[in-house]
Amino acid sequence: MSKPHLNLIIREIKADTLGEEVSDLLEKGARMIYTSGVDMGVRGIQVNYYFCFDHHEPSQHTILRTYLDRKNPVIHSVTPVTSQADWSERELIEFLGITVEGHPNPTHLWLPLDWKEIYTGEKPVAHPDTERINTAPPVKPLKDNIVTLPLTTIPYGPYHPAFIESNYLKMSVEDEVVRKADLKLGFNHRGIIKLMERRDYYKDLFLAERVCGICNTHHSLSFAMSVEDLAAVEVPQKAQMARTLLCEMERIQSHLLSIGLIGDLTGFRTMLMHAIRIREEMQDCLEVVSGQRVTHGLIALGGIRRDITENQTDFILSKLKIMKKSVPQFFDQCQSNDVLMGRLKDVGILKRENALKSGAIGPVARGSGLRIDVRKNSPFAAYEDVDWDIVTENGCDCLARIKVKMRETLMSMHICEQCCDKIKIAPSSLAAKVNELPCGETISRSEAPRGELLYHVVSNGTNTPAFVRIRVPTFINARIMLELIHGCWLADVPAIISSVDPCYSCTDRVTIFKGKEQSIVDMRSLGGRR
Amino acid sequence: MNTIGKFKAFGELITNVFRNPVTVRETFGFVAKNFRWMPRRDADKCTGCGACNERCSSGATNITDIGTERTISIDGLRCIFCGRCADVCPEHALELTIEPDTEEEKKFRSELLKTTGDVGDTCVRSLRGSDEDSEVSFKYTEQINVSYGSEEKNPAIDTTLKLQRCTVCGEVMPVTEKHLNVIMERVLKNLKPETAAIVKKDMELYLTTCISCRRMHSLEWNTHPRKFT
Amino acid sequence: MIDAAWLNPVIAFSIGILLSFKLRKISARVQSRRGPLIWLPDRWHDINRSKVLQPLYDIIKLFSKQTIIPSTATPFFIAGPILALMCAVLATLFVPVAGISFDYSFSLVVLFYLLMGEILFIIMGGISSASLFSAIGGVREIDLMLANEIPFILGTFALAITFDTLSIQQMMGFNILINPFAALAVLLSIIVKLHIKPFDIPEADTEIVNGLTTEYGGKLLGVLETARIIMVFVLIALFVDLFLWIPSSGALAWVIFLAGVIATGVLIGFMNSLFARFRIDQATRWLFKIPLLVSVLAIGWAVLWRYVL
Repeated sequence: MSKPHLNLIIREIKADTLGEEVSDLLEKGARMIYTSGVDMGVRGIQVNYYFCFDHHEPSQHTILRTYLDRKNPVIHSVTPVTSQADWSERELIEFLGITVEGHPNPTHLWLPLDWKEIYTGEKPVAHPDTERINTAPPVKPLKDNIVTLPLTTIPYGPYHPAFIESNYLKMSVEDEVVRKADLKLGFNHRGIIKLMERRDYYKDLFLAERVCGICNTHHSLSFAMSVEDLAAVEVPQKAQMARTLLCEMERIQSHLLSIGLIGDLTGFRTMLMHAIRIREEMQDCLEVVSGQRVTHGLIALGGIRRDITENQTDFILSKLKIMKKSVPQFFDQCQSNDVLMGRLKDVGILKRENALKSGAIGPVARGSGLRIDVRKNSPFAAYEDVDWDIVTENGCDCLARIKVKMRETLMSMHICEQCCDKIKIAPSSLAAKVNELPCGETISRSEAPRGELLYHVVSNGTNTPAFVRIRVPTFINARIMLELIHGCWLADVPAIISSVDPCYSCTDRVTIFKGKEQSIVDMRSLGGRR
Repeated sequence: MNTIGKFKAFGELITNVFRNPVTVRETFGFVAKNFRWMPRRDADKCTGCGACNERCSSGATNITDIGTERTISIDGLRCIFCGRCADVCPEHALELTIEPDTEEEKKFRSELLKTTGDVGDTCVRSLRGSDEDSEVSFKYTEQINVSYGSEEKNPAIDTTLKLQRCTVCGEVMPVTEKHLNVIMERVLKNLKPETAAIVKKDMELYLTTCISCRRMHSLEWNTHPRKFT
Repeated sequence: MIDAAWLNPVIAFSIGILLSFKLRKISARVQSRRGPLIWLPDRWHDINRSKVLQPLYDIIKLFSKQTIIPSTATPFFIAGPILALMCAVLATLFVPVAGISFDYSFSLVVLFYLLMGEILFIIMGGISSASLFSAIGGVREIDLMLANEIPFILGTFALAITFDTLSIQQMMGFNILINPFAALAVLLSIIVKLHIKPFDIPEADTEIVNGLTTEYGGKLLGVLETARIIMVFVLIALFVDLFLWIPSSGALAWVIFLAGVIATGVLIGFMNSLFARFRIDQATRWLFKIPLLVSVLAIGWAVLWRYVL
């Protein structure tokens, strides 16, 4: 088993030549996957631009790096060149205070709308007796910078039946047709990447798992892969197979849930209930293998934590046999419903060129006919040893995205069966020992159910990472979702949202931990309007 | 899809009316054998070494030294059920399974296995579709509620152990007596009996002395740590 | 002597509760769930204490809650549900329950006005709450009503042509054999009026949070819910009276009537659980295509039988 080595080029450039370099790389066919900023103290603010070429050539990655002055951090925006940098640069503006010149829409995405008054103006003073911060509403009405069109404005959220997690989608509507939409995130912000810098690598593994509930194995796996890459550890074959098995089982349950949710949001609740019924078989398997239904905690640095016994693989195979019958039957039932198909067909069309230009990933890209899948492009775990292929559809609409998910579920079941057979005969070593972590940095990518996942881990030789940066799939796809919402019917908005299947919990990565009533956060300021 | 296929799919949906519903009451469904639950500490085995406290990623374990006693507790509301504490415990005192601990419960569990049967060695109880009449399961739920009641009883299980006093200066050391005994037993077990008799005296003296006293007297006692390695 | 038809509202409410219980139960069973239970065993007390029918329990719960009226609401916010309930209760008096009702030579026209009035008063109450979701829900409801009233009126008038009367009592019978097109048209429009699944567009919970009833809570929502339950009975009973009624009297009339009501209820229950929701433009297009065609055919059929043959 020879894994193609990760080919990572880190190039340091001047901040002035950034625009040319970026357009140069983009002309070569790169996808810009993320932009991150790190405050490096006296060296200034480090800004990284991540590019990958792996849809042309396996495992090719480039990082463009530049340092900004800490006193006056100014950088030229690359959003006019490629829209893929839009949200990343807004993140730089909000979290590091960098001035991005020439950004077309430098509004708030994560921070509260009145954060300037909170953090730079008068500091809120706690009451001397109760030690509580005054929570009376501010005298000045909050400046609402989301939508300023003279049309009817429909709010979706922070709590709305169409969203499982809280976020705030605001739409200007003209006769049930959406003219303009904007999204406000930041309701689930938990500061996980900052917490990771304070804990050792073993604890980070469990923290990474809690970034997202539904793709938790992929998060901990990506973190573990980057640490293994830093420590130059070879993971045993059985562990690789077990990881592949766990990832695919997670993909099955995630896709089934998302297919069911599409039905629920278009009014077909029967579909949701049956999707949950079938998904329960997979949840039982996950519980048998890992010991928990949601956060599995099976990945360890250098391998897996618990053995997968023969009885367990037999259990999975017997459950897969049941699912092989019930899943295609369920998909037939969905596709035979003309009303549902009419709701999804020709809705939310993302053309192939647009998908390529805006950097779509995951089922969104594959629904537009792009062959983008990290499992094939830069293989991880044991995906090279099993027989499978990328699933694509050419419909470009919501229906195509659902069909991709349906066929991927069947493909994942096929992979699971192979993994179960191979685990039985694999040598029994479970985990390689990670002894020492030298200074260095690496990135690792994996294919979560919603798209590619990027972890950038930098080690400074101690037992804690110097910094960690996470790019989750929804970060790219939610922006594309906004573009799709423009100009569609209000009734189609839930269908589009659920076909893109955003996971805001991943994107936010933070919780306000109310410890012993001392850190009271003004929840009103988080919610935009009062 | 053709029209016949469509009608067939609708027919399949409608026939669900005549099948048994799949939903079951909470705690009636499938539970795997290695399901991770609240960590239970075996108070007899625990030595208070603090390995679990060091590795816990959510800060759920607590070790507090008050006076001459050390209290080890687990905060059930902070625990994330990752099982890392059980992995690192040198005494294997921690368990995260849902196994019942009293004799009565064990007996009850075996009855349960008889009525429902188990699948392989992986699952303990599978009561799917039979909850309407099984009094047994209700009793089981009640027992779980009693042993892990979340409202009245704090789910944390505390263990209190005595701390060692320095035999020379009399100060309280941050080590429990039990931990030192266990270390000593373990070291002496691997030695020949005649050597053990010699080593035991020196080792007892060395282990029951606080760090500052050790530094002062190690030369005259001839108990330098190098001697034991 | 007091007319037995005065009991109709009470009967309507109790059978309406049974019907909406049936709707929920059927959709639960199609979804492989248990659904609401008629009676709960004692040992299930810790999960659920409702020993009565769940829809009735819901209404009792709503009436025991505090009513919150938004500051932006006009007085019509309170008047709307009450007037809607009055319309629904009045409508029950004109729908024969096992052959008993008030009857005039124009009772069909009165019923039309009452059924339409119920919907219009709900729209009035909902819109006066100044909620955006209610406004969109109201617009959708009116769109749907415009498309839906035509097949309903044409379908019932086809029977009026056949029997040459506007009195409901006189046109009752097993008319599904005499004019099947009219039966189909009226059934489809009943489904739309009750917001059964492909047509629950005005109260789509994932798009516009329950539409017109977004701002309602407590006792006013209880009133709306009562009106809805009575409407379920009124429309289904009307369908049974017009198309599935076999002339009889006494206990036999009750048996026939209840059998018809339950059969129609089960049919509607299956409809509710087997379809996704239409978009409003798809729904109006569909309603202007198929039910309109069917109802025109029904009129043609009736005219053919009455005047030509």
